[in-house]
Parts: sequence; structure tokens; C-alpha cells
Amino acid sequence: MFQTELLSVRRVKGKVVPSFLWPDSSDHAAIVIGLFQESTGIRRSEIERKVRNVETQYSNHKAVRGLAELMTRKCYFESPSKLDARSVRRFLFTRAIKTPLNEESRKKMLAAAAEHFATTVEDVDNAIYGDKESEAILRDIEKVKPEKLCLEYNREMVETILMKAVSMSVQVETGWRDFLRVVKRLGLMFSVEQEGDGVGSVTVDGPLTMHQNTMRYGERFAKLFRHIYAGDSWKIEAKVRLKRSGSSEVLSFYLDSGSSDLFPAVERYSEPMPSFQWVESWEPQPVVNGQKVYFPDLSVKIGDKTYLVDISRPVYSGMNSERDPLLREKGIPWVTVYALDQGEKPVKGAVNLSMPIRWESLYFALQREIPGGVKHRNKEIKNSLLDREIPQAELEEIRQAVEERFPDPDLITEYLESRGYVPSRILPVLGYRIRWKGLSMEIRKKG
Amino acid sequence: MTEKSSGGILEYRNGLLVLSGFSGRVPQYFVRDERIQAYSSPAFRYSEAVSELEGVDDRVFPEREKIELSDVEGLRSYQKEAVRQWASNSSRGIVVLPTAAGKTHIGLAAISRLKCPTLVVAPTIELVRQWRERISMMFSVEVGMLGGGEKEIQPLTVSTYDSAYLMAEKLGNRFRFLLVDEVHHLASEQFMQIATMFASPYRLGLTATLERTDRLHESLQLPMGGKLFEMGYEELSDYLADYRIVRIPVDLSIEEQIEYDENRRKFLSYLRKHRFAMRGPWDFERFIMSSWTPEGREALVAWRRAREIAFSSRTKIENVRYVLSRHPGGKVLIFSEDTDTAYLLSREFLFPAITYLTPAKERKEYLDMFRSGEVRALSASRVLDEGIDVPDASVAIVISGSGSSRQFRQRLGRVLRPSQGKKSVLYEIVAKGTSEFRTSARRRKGVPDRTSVSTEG
Repeated sequence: MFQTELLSVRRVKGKVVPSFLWPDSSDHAAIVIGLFQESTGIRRSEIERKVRNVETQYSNHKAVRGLAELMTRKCYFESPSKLDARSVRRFLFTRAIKTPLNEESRKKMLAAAAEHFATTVEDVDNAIYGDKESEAILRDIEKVKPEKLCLEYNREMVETILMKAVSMSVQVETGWRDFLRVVKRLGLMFSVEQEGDGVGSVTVDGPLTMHQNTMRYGERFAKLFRHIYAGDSWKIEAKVRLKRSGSSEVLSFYLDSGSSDLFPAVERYSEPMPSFQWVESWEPQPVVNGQKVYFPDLSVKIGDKTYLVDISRPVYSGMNSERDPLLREKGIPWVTVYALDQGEKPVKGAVNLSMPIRWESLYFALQREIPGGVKHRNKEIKNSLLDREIPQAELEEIRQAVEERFPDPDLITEYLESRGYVPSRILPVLGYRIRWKGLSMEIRKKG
Repeated sequence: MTEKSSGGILEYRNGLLVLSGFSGRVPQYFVRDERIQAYSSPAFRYSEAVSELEGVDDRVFPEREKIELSDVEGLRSYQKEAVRQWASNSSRGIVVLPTAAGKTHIGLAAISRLKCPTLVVAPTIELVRQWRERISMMFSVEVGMLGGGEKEIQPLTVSTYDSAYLMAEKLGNRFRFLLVDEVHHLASEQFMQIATMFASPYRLGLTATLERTDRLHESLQLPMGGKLFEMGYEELSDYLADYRIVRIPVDLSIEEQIEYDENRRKFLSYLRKHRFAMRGPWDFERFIMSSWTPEGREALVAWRRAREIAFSSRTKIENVRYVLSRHPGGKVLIFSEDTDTAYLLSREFLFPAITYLTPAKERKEYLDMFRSGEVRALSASRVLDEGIDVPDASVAIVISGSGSSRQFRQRLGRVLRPSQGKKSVLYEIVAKGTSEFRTSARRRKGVPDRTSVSTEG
């Protein structure tokens, strides 16, 4: 995302239209890349001055500055001195309690510092603010072609527009699940519009949107853009608030997959989910009930029954408490689990888990809480989990792997977690016990 | 006849009050939110909501938590009156007092009076740390802090505006008392969400300069409770250090003047050609918006360059040297409008510079060094305009600034903390023959006229 001042758009009849750079016709990118390539060995402040000079020669100065911003991110800068700037400052400032009021006394102090740090006066002078960004010297630049830089610029421009969005409506043909997972994780809210038997579009906004046209969630909308345009077919319609002469106006912003070629290629993000025998699917089919479409996050097998699990946030508890009984009345085995942020109050009478969710905890919680589910004491659960869930051969394989890593608690923990196990639960079953010394874990063999 | 109401739950969720299962007349500031199948309202309406929603199960705040706090002694008469008026206004409202008049003391008295979980919000990390130290010293309690890399919550917690804004969704029902220092900043669109997303029934705003040129301070009335107490410099002169303002007009060097005039001419001819009149901030914004053409861009660059020359003219630096030589034992704060000048002074005279770029740890270190006398001068861009408390700082030099009388009052306030026999002086170094001369006259309108013009500079 760029800073707002780099936002380059046109306003046409209530719509906001970004000024994109067309990779095959824009010469801005080549000029900016050239400027940086010629600047190795010079100070960042000097490069910025050169960029300002170039800006004045082009009508779209914002494009020049935006491209320069992208190039700056590809640069490797180094301090002009090897000395630690903060130590140099401290040395000088504490010795200069009597402020040097002429050049001679200033030089004396710099000379004393040079002696102390075993270097030259010039090096000390360079080091005083050598850790300031503007003082840094350009050493190297990541290679990039002008066409690619234009595409990156365009993506940043869309994200900068979405930063100003108050709500956004999205259509994607595939990949709803991952998209909605990200929406929920960002603390945004969504409502689904049905089209036939499937999803038409999803409107995304935030809790406060009902009360004010706030841009509070803009940064989160912007973060969604990379998830959206990674797909083949997509569409965005957003309400964007932009300032004009001291007041602001709400404009509409539209973009669809016809523009995909204007952005750098990106792989669709798909969250890798662990494999558990009790998880039937991480992508169960959406449930259509009348006019509404619901997206369960996973389906699980508890005992011999399959349940659809929706991982929700407490802000939806009112809606869910009306939805869930209706779905169950229709025979849909629907369970809502609330993911709680730090300090967030649990929803009464529901399954509540802390974020990030540990999937094993979800299994135990479901076992305990599902109506008619198996109720166990903790110890029984642990053993029954191992008896039922882990085949003997796998258990032996884990036992051997742990033995090889014993007694290093970090290696053992890393291995078990990579296999999807909670060390504190499985280790006792494998014949180990855990002792805590402060925050350090010690793993010992039983007996 | 009022409709009979019953049941219902009132909860706090993500900056909102959420009302569900209530059968009765729902106040009009609640809106039906179909996304959650319940009514919701901005959280700041909490006090009204609980009094209007008869019989509702109020689950907004956790259990009522009472904190053992000692009483605050030694309030001056006007401070006592401010606290009394605030308390009789349902513990809501804004107190306006000049810098150095002891607003923090009023805040501490309010905290002590309510004895409930409190969040103190201040705009800079220095002020936040200062509040933390003052609260901790006054009540001998652990004080939590949000901002500057810290994230610790205690019943009494201090926070930067930024952290309070970012965490409002989660913290809005943790503190019954919201105390906002330099409350005029709260009136920006972004920070106003602190006021609206917190459910705190008790609120106190403190400031020396409530009025904003954009008039947004008027929007504080509803969420904070409006201005209820105000006193100015003249009424409090017995409690503030004696001060004088010395204006030092300086000539630019010949080269600087030629370059200044050239750039200024470019800027002004653009304004004339496009019929721009500069009457206020909006006009300037209009000019910036228009500067997308190469010609407009050139005018903007010329304006910036002229400003740079006026701000950090070599003759100004020489005058700083002169003023420093006049106060060899004094503690001197030098204010500039831009960061470059602050660093230029730091390099030249080898004292610390504090700007928005200075890391939080280093800022604290320099302020501690300044307070203890380990360093005797500090240059600062706008970040130290407000709030830092160094009672024995007695000399301020304004090398550049905006035309804002608020900023000028705040800067003056930095050297007005009273101490035995203290006589403070603020030097204002202004470049002759530049637009800065008019800017300086504008900003001084905000303080009583005690200005003399130095001819020595």
C-alpha cells in the first residue's frame, strides 16, 4: 500500500478510476529503475532529491514517486560508518555538556570521539546520524524489469484505494473457503447474497459500519485484494471515501478479472491444514437454507456421526443463536465454535476456544460439548484418542522418532507438533513425563 | 405512557453495545443490525443505555472493580474547582487550562475520586511515560502501558492515542474511566473512534488549547461531555513562572535571499495565474491538490525550497549560537518545524535531537539526560511541542514554526513550569524579508503580549 498522497485516481460520475500504468506503454518505470541503478554509492536523501527532480518533468509525478517507493523497497542500504551511531551520539552528547560554541571546540570533541572509537574525525561525523534512513548509502538493488514494476505499482494503487473503502462486495468463482477464513481472521464481517443454489457475492465490512462510514477496516480490505485476484474469475465493488476540499465523498470502485493482467501473477493462497482422522473435510459444501448460504469450516466425525463445524466470532453470537436451531431443525448437524481473541469474553453455552485454534483442543471440546457426544474424563480422552486415532504402527514410528530426539525438548516438541500432536498429551502415553522449570521444558523417561 | 420493557442482554462487542432479546422501546441510537440479528449502538452511549433499558441484563463491563487509591492532596483552588465541576457533571467533561497549570494533578485527583479501572490516553510516548510515572508515584501501584513497544494492562493503564485506537475493539469495556490528555487531538476522524468505541461511563478531557481551526472540537461535546471549566494565562499568572518573549529578526545571507526570492516568485506567480487566495488550510490543500501538473508541481517544489531556506538559514543557526552563549548554565529547548533543522542543530552543537524518527528508547534516554542535567540543550521538531515536563527548563528558542497560536502556546508552556525564582524566556528567531515574519505575528496572538524585539541578533 502506498501513502494516501500517492493515490492517483480520476473521479468520474460518482466513480473512482485508478490511473494504472500500462506495462507496454509507460516509460516511467524504466526511468525510475535507471535512476536507482545510477545511484549506487550515494546517500538515500540524495536519491530522494533526484527523484523529486524527475517528478517535476512528468505530468504524473505521483507515478514517479510510487515507482520510486517500490524501488526503494528493493534496495539494500548501508550506514555510512561502521561505528554504532547510538554509542557515538551518547559519547559526544555527554561530553558536550558545555555546548561547543565555535568550530574549534566542536572539532576537539569530534577528535576525542575519534580517538575513543579508534577511527577518523570524518568517520565520527558520518556516524553521528549514520543510522538515520536518509543518511544510508545505496549498495545494491534487486533486479526488476520495468513491466513488472508497473504491475506492482498497479496492485499497490488498488490496495491504496481499498484502504479508503468503507465496505466491499466481492465475487469469486472458486476458493470461497480460504477467502472467508481470511475475512474472519481479520475481524471483518460478511453477509452472503445467494444466486441460484450458490453464492452470488459476499459483502464484507466491519462491526462499526452500521453506525458510521468508517475507513477503520480499509487496511484489512486492502489485505484481501491479493487473495481475490489470485483466482480466475473475480469482481470487486467497493464504497470508497475520498477527501475533496476539506470534506469527503463516497465513491464507488469497480474492478474485475478483466484487469488481472495489470497485476503481478500471484498464487492463490490456500492455508495448509493438518491431517486428522477425525476431520472428514476441510472444505465441506456450503449449506443452503432458504434464502441463505452458510459456510461450515470443516466437517468432523465424532463417534459415528458427522458434524459441520462453523468457527465463528463472538460478534456473530446473536445471529448464530437464531441460525443454529433452525439448521438443526432441518436435520443439518451444525455446531458453532467461537474463536476468542485475547481477553475476549466467551459466549455462554457454546464451545469457546482461544485463537489461534489448536485443532486437538477442538476435537476434545467437541467430544465434550456435542449433544449426545461421548463424555469422558480427561485421562480417558487422552488414552481413547491414542487407542482409537493412532494405529499401532504409527504410534511405534512416533515412539522411535521421539527416542531419537531424546532428551532435547525443542527437537521433540517440534517433531510432535509437525505431526499434529500436543506434546503434553502424547508424551505421557509414550512413557515420558514433562517437568517445567520456569519456561523451560524438561522431558524425562518415566520410572 | 411508556411501554413496559423486559429482559434482554446488553453486551460489549468490538466497539459496539449489542442489545439482544429485549422487548420494549429501544432507544433511537440503537440500530437493528441484520448481520448479527440484534440491535447495536456505538459503545459511548453506555451510560444512557443502561439508564434507559429498564430491566436489561447489563454484561458490558466485568464485575465492578474497586481500586484502593490514596486521596490526592495539595490541589490549588482552581484545580479543586475544576474537579468539583467535573464530578457534578456525572464525571464527564473537558477542562481547559494553560500548559504548566497542573492539568495532570487534576487528572490524578479524578482517578483517585473514582477509584475504578482507568485508561489514560496521551498523544506522545513521552507524555504517556510521564503519566505512568506520575500515577505510579502518586498511588504506589503498578501502571500498565500500551505503546512504544509495551503492551501491559493493569487496572490503571496509560496508552498512546495510536494504541488506544488500534485496540479499542478489545479494550473498550475494560476501563470505566477514560482520561484523555491533550484532548483536542481526539477530535480527528480517526481518534474520535477512541471516544466512540469505549463504553467508559466516566470521561475527562484535558487540554490547553481546545479550539481547532477546523472546528472539529465541537464534535467532542457528545462523547466527552463538552467544555466545563476554563482559565487562561492571565488568570493564573501567580501559579506560572514569569516569562518574556524576545523576537530576534535575522537577515538571510545574500545567496539565501536571492534563492528565497526566486522560489517565492515562482510560487506566487502560480497562485496569481490560477487565482488562488491563501486564506486558510483549505486553500492550501486546494493548491496541493492542483499541483499534479508540471507547472503546479514546480510551484510546490519552489514553495518547499523557500520554506526550507527560511527555516534553516545559516544566520538563524548563528543566532542560536548567540543565544546559547547568553545562557551558559540554563536548560535550553530549541523547537523547529522540520526534522532537518533539529538534526542540523544537533550536529552543529552536539546535543541530542528528538524528532518523530527518534526511537522510543532513545527519546526517553535523552529526556532523562536533559532532566538530570547530563545534557543542557535539546533540539526538537514538533514532537515535543506538547506535554514534556522539565520544571527547570527556562529557555526556549523557536527557530521555526507554523502560524498556529496553539503550537506557540504549547511551546511557551514548556518553560513555564514554576520553580523558585524562575524567570523564563522564549526567543523567536524569525527570517526578515520572508513570509515567516507574518506567520510569527499570527502565532503570537495566542499569548499575552510580553514581546520585546532584540536588535542584537
